Amino acid sequence: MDPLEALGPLEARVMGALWSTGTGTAREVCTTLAEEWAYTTIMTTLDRLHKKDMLAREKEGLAWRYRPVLARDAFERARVDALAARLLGARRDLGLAALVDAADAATLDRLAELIEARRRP
Amino acid sequence: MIATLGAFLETVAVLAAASALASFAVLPALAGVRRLRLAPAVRADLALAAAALPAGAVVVVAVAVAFPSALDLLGFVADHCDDHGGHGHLCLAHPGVAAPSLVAIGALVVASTLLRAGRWVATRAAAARDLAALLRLGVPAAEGPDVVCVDGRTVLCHAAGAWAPRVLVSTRLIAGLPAELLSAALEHERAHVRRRDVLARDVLTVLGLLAWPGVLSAAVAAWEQAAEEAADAAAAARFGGPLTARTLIAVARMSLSPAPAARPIVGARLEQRVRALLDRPPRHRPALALVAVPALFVGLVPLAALNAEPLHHAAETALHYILEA
Repeated sequence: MDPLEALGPLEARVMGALWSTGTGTAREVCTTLAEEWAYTTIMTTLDRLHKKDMLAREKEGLAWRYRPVLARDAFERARVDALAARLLGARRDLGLAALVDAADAATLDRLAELIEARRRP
Repeated sequence: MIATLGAFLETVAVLAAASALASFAVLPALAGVRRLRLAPAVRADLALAAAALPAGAVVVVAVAVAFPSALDLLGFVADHCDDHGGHGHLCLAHPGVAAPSLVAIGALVVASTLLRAGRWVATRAAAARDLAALLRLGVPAAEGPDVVCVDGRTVLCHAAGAWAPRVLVSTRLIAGLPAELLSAALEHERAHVRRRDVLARDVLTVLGLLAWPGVLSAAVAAWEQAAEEAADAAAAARFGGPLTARTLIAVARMSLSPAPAARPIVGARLEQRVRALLDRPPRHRPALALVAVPALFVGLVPLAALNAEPLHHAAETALHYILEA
């Protein structure tokens, strides 16, 4: 699963439905969404999400039962960290003004002592 | 068509020469800005203004070259090419035989500028998409409606966005800082938002496209340091220099902890900022360059147009001496 790959609108709706119900077949997801998408469209989307490793599935009769690989908050956390890493890496920190410089632990310790010395009367 | 293209590229070479002259004058000035004992907001404004000079020179010479030709084409004045005295000729309305060396230089300058501009636009657009995706995953923080909080292990504390700037923080930062240090960190970033520093950084890059290599990196170094110190001054005005300095150390220390595939937050030189917070009382001034620099450019165009004849003649004389050399 690539957390950097954005979900399309329908993919996001399908994932949202499965995150709220826990598991579902294509028929159940159609019912949950209550939208006018064809059953085959939902089925194709579920299959696509499975190929992206977003969903695991097991056979249930003739249908597949899908469940999310990651819980919603775990997925969003992974996506936040992946986006932040890409944004902050390789001179992509455009559109951001950072707070503080990179520094090694020894420098930070020395500066902390300097601040402490100034605070002492 | 070929003759016009040749005249255009020859003109670009002349513009590049004007930019070079201004760039060589600006580089030592930018080195000097970093040493000036002025309020950091003033130093940031001076760095931005200095970076604008090569672009200003290009605008002045471009107007000087184009204006007489434009007036001629529009029929407002008689053809100025009739009485040229035999020296170098810059005219888009009546292009002559362009010097091959200048055409080659002009072509190189156009290609290089387009390449650099294209690379920056592509990178900036990709960063904007990632930032938009990140902000969509965030929620307004308890610390204020201007603060967006994202749930992640990366240490994030940034002013984000050029046109609708907000403060972007992560849950890791909020959980890792004591309340008073968090307030100081947010005040620092809010200062960046008020100063429109993300937009200023983009403006610097665009101005740098019209300058010679070295000017942009020198301007960014001078401006970034000053802008960070200006934001430090804003935080220190509310929370004091020592507490603001402790905040910088605390966030830098958090950034050393392992985080998934993220490099530490990068900003201006830490030690200089800590010493400035401890040594000197902070002086907080608003940013003016984002208003002053565009106003300067708007004023330069009519000024150059009013003085187009002597500037045009000076450019053609310089061209003549270059071709004779």
